[in-house]
Amino acid sequence: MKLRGAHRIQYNSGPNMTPLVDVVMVILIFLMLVGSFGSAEHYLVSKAAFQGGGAGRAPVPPNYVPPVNLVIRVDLDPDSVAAAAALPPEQAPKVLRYQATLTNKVYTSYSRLRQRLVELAADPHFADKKNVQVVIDPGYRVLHHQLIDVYQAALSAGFEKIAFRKAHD
Amino acid sequence: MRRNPMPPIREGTVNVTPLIDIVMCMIIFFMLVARIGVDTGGDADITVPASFLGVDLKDMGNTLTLNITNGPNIVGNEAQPLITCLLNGKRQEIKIRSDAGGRVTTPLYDLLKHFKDTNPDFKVILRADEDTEYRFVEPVLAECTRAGVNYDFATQRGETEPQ
Repeated sequence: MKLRGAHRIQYNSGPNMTPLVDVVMVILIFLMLVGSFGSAEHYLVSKAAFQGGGAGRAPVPPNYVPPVNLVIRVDLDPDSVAAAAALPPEQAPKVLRYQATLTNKVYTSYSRLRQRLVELAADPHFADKKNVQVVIDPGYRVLHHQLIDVYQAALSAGFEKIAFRKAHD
Repeated sequence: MRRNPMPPIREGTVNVTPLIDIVMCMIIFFMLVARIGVDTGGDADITVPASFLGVDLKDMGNTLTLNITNGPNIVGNEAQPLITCLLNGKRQEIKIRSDAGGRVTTPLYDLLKHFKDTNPDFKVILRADEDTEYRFVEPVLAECTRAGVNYDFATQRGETEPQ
C-alpha cells in the first residue's frame, strides 16, 4: 500500500527558536532566584538627637529654644528579671518584660502606654508637637525591641521628636 | 511558462512566539526591579525588632549600616558593643574606643566624622539585635550625635501593633 504524503517535504517558516527559548528561560529563572525585591526591612526615622552628657551632648545652636520634654522612664519589670535569672542566658531575654513610667504612673503594656500618650498628645500643654520632645529614659539592661515598642507608642500617639537619654542604673 | 507554486506551510511544532514575548517582558521586568549583588552590610545573624510604623528609605546610597550586638560582659569596664559594618567591600568590626598601642582612639567617631565631612547627607542605619541591651546601643547613639550624624533604626515589617 502506498501512503499518501509520505515523501512530502515540510518547510519551517523562520529561524529555529529553540536555543533562544532555552537561554531566555535560564536567564529568567536565574533572575527570579537571585534577585531580591522589596527589602524585608524598613526603618524608624529618628528626628531627635541622643541626650547624653559630656562628649555625647549635641552642640546647641544659637537662639536655641529648649523643647518641652515628656520623659518616659523605661525599666525592666523586677518580677520578670527574677524569672529570667533562673533561666539559661540565651533564654532569659524571652521572659524579660518592661515597665514604662510616665507622669508618675507605671504602664506595663504597649496599648496602655499608647493610650496615655494619646491623652497627653491632646493636652494643650503639648499642642505644639514640633516643640515637644519625648525623651525615652531607659535602664541599661532594657532590650532594644522593648525600646522600639516604646518609640512606636510615642510615634503613633502623634509625637514626632523622640530622643533617647543616657542609660540609668 | 509553467509556474511552480509555493508548497503550503505546515507547522509541525508549537508556536512559541507568544511564549517568547511574555518571557522577554518578564526578563526586562526582573532586570529593572531586582537588586542583584547589592550588599548594605547587614548581618544576617542579627534579628532586628519588628515595627509597624517603619518607612522605606528611598536612597540607601548615603547610609552606613552598623550591626550592633551585645559585647562581652566585663564587670567594671565600660560597655563595648560588638559593632560591624561594611567598609571597602568587607565587613569589619569597629570599636567605640580602642587603646591599641597604648594610645586611646575613637575609631567609630572618626569614621562617622569622616563620612559626615565628606557627605552632608550621610546617615547611619542602626541594625541592633532585638535582644541587645540598651547599654550597648547607647554608646553608638552618643557617637552618632557627637559626630552630628542622624540615625534610623532598622526593623522588620510587623503587620500588627504590639499589645
